[in-house]
Amino acid sequence: MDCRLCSDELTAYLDGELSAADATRIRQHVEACPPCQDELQALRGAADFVESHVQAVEPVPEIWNNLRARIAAMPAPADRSGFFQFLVVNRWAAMLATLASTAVLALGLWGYLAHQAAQQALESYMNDYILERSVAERLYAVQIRQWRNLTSVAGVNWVPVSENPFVDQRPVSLANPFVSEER
Amino acid sequence: MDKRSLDPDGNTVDAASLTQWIGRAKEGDVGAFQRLYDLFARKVLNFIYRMVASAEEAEDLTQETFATVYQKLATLKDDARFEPWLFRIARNYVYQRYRRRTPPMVSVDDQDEEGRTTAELVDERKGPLEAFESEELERVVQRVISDLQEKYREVFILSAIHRLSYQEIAEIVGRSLPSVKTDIHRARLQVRQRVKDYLKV
Repeated sequence: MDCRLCSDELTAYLDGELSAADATRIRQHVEACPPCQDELQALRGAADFVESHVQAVEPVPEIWNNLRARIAAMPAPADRSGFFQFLVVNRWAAMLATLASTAVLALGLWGYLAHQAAQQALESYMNDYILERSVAERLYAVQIRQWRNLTSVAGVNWVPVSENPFVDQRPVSLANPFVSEER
Repeated sequence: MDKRSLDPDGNTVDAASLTQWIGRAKEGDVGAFQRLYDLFARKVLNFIYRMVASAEEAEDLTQETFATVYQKLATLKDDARFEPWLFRIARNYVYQRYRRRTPPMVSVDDQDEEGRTTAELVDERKGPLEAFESEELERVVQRVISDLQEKYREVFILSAIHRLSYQEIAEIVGRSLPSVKTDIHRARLQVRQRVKDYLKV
């Protein structure tokens, strides 16, 4: 054991706070080391000086008299009862109650946030669908105009089925499809 | 000061009696609570006095401490931990009082009847220890303790004056055992140096 390690343990050694094995090691080192002996003696001397000359202050009667008056104005500990007192006295019950209420609040908040997220996702999907369909509508409208402008397509009479842009407006042949036209 | 619990007549109080009084005090028995007060008031008062260096404040805080003990005694689950629990309450009041004060704390008790401070008295003497009077030495002790930083002061008082175990002290101050052990050692080193400085021995 070196002096630095020994020095750090001297106060605990003086106070009897070391294990028997550690105390023996310290004692053996100190017996063989004059500087550590001086250090131990100095610490012991200072501790003895304080213990010898510290004068205890005695409690004056007024402390108890005033305290007694305050206690008389308080409800007796046994008179305090009820659910909340149960929580105050029973620390575990209070902790469980706090955890339970926190869990309920957290669950409610999570549900609300999840619902909000779902609403936003649905709204976004609908917006995208509407946008996509409006683009498709415009494309079909362009095609319809183009087909309407076709006047020289042989054997084909353009028959508008309806103005509905979602219905296929391509030209339909009126020839009998079951009779071959090649004679 | 002795580590054991002594009643006002100086007789040792056994753990069973202490537990009985605590149990009855929890039910509102003021007589039992007064027995607890008689057992521990002196220790608590002296701990607080050494921390705040004012007898008047120490009396006030001692009263606050025991009033809180009476109110909160039902929350104490392990009656064997009564003393560390009591000192924790006292310590909390001391630190509340520190927070309301502006530093540095100067003790009004650090002067003799002629208004001379401890440092002045010591400078005048510069002689062997026997030349100092008992009250002067007591003031030196108080000055030495007051010079310590709060965290060293409290562990020094609890270990060197009240002779509590390191484990109990760790419980009171809310720090780990190794940390408390280091702080106690540092406090003692500082006290050793201060005693040397003040007494020139």
